[in-house]
Amino acid sequence: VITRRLLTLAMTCAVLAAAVGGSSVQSSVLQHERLRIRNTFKTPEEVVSYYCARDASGFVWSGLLDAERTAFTSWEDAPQVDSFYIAKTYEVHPSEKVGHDVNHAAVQVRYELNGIGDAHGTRSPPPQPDYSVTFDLQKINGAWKIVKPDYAQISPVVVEAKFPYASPSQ
Amino acid sequence: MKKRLLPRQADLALLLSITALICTGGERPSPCSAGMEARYPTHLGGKSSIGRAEVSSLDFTAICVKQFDNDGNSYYQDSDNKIYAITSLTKSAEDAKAQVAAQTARENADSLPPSTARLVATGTPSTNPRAGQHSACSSIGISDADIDTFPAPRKETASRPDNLPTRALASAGSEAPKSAQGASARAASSNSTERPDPILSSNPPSPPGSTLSQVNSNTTSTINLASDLGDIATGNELIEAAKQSRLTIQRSAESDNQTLAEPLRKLSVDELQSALAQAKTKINQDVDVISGASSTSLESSDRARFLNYIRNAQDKVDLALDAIHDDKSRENQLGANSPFTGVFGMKDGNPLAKLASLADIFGSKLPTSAAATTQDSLTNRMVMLSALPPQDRAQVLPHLKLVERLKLTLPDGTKTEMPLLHNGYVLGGGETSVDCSSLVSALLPADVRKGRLTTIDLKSIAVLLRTGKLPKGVNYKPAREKMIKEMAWAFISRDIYHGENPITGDLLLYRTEEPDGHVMIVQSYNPFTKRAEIIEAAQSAGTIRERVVDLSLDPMTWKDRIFIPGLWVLRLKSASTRACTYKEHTRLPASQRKKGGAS
Repeated sequence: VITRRLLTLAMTCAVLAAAVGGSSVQSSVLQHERLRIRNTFKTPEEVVSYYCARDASGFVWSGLLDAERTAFTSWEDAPQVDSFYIAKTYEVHPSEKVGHDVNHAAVQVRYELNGIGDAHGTRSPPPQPDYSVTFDLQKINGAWKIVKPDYAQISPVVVEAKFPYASPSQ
Repeated sequence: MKKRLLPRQADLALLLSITALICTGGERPSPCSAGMEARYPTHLGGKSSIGRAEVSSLDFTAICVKQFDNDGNSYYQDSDNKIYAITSLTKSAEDAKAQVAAQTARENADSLPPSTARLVATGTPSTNPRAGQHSACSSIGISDADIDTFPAPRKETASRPDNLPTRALASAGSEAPKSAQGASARAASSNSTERPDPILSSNPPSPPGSTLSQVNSNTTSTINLASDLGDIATGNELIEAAKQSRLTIQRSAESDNQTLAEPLRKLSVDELQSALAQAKTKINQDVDVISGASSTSLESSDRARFLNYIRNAQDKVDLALDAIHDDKSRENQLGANSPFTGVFGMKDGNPLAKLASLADIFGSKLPTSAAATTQDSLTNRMVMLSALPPQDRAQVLPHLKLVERLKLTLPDGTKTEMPLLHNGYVLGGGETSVDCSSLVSALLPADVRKGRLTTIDLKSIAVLLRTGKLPKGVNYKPAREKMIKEMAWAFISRDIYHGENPITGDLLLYRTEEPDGHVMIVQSYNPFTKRAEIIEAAQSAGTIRERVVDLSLDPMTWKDRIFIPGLWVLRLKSASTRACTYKEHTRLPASQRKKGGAS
C-alpha cells in the first residue's frame, strides 16, 4: 500500500510539474500518446508536450489527422517529410512569455539525437548530437496553438524507444 | 528547420558568389566549374543564358549553349553568339511523328522559310561584343551581320538553314499539326533538354560541309531528338498517370465510404455504442497481430505507418465511446425523434456521427473527392469496418476497392491473412517489381513516398549515379542497399547547378543534411526565373497539389539568381514509353519485362 501511495504521489508530482511548467517533462512513457481532437490544455508547454509525445511515436511522420492539426496548431497543412531525426531523449522546457503579449509564448524543446533516418532503418549521423526547437505559440480562441515553426519548416523527431521502426535492427 | 537552414543557405550562397566572382573575373556570379563553358553574353532581351556547354549540329559540329528567349523557347548559340536552330519539344511520340512529318514536308520545299527572312530583317540591335567576327555560321547561310541583328526566336517561327535536312530539329512551325502545337506549348517552357551526345563526344566530326558530316550530324540530331522526346513523353505520361490514378483512387475511396456506411445507418446510438465497443476489441487485436507478427507482406515503413493509422482509429473509437458515455450521462443524447437523425441518415451523412460530439470526431458527412483519401477518412473506414458484425464484414469486404489482404506470419509460425484498408496503392515490399512509371507514381503521394523510396534513397541514387558510390555516412540495411543500387539504373542524374535544367516529369528533390527532404514532379521549368511548376502530395488534402516553387532565394530583380543548395534532379529513363525503347530494357529477361522491368 505504501509503495502504491508513493508511486501515486510521484506521478501526481510529475503531472503537476508539467502543468505548471516548473520543470521539464521527460519522455519516458512507452505507450503512444493518445489522440486528442480537443485542445483543453491550459499551458503552452502542455500543448508542446502533447505534440512532442505524438511526434516521438511517429504520428507526425505518419501524418497528423486534420482534427488534431487544427486543434493544436495554426498550420494550413501537416508536415509531410519522409525521414526524421531519431532522438534518445528530449526535454520540454518551461514556457517563456514573448514580449508583453500574454497571448504569445515560446517553448523550447531540446533533443539528444542519435541520428537521422527513415522507417526502412536507414540511418545517418546527425549534424550535431544536440538539437533544439523553439515553438512559438499563440492563444487563439482561448486555446494555445503552435504557430511556429510552420509545418513546412519542422522535421519529425521520433524517439527510438517509442518508434522501433527507426532502428536498423528492425 | 528553416530557421537554421536559412542562414546556412545564405552562407553557401555567399560562398558560391565569391567562387563565381573569381571564375568570371568580377562579373555577376554564375554557377561555373572547371571544364564548363563560362556564361556567354546574351543579346536577346537581356535574359540570362544557361551556363552549360552543349553539343548541337547542323552541317558541322559546334559546341553550343542552349539558350532561351523571352518566351522560354530554346535555341542554340555558340561562343560567338551565333544562333543555329530553334527546337521545341513535343508531348508524345505521336506528336513527335507528326512534327517530323511536317518538318520533312518543309525540307522538300527546299527554300528559306519566309518567317526567317522577316526575322533577320526586323531584328533588334545587338550588344554582342564579338559582333562582326567571322564564324562557321556563314557556311550555313546566315551572315555575321544577320546574327548581330538576329532577334529572339519566337515559338511560331522556324529559323533554320534552308539547304540542310533538319529532320531532327522539329519545330512548332505553322505546318505542324494542331495537336503538336498544343502539346508543344506546355513543353516549350521546359524544353531544356541538354543531353551529352556520346557519338559526337567520342568521334571527331567530319569536315564541315562534307556529305559524311551531314549524315553524321543528322543521325546524331535524330538520336538526340528521339531521346529528348522520349524523356518528355515519359514525363507527361507520368504526370497524367499520377493525376488519373489519384482520381481513380478518390472515386474508389468514395465508393468504399458508402459501402461501409450503409450497414451502419440503421443503428441507433445504443447499437452504435455496442458496435464501437466491438470495433475497439477488433482494432486492438489488429494492432497486436500486426505489431507482433514476425513478418508481413508490408515493408518496414509501411508497417510503421499503418500501425499508426490503426492506432489513430483505435483512439478515435476510445474518444467516441467516451463521448457517448458523456452524452448519455448528460442526457444530451439525440434520440430517434431528434431532428438531426434525418441528417445522419442521408446518403452523404456519416453514420458514425449520430451525436454532435461524435460528429466532432468522425465528421458529420462522408468525405468526397480529395477528402475521401485523407488519413481521417481512412481511419473512419477502419472504424466502420471493425464496427460491423463478422458476418456483415465478410459480406462487405468483397465490395471494397481499397483493401489489401495483408499476409502475416505470427510469432508461433502460423500464417494468416488480414484485410487492411488503405488509401490507394498496391502494397508490397521493395522486392516487388514495379515498372518505372508506377515506381515514380508511387513516389507522388506523401504516404506512398514514405513506404517506398524516401528522399534519403533518392539522394543516394543521385550520388550513386554521379560518383558510382553511395554517399558516405548513410547506413543501409544490406537488402535495402541492394534495392537502391538496382533501382538507380532506372534514373538519370541531372546537375541543376551545372545548367542541366529539369524538364517535364523530372523528379526534383530537395534534400540537405537535415531530415527535411521533399520530392516533387516537375511540370515545367523556367530557367529565367528559376521557378518550377511542380506537382506534389498534399497530405491534408489527400491528393496532389500543383504549385510553383522558387529554386532561388535571391530577389527576382537580380539578373543571375543562384540556386538554393540541396537540389537534385532525377530523370526517369524512357524505357517504357512509346517513343523509344532502351537497350537495357530490351535486354531484360522476358519475365521481368512483363512486370515492368524496372528492377
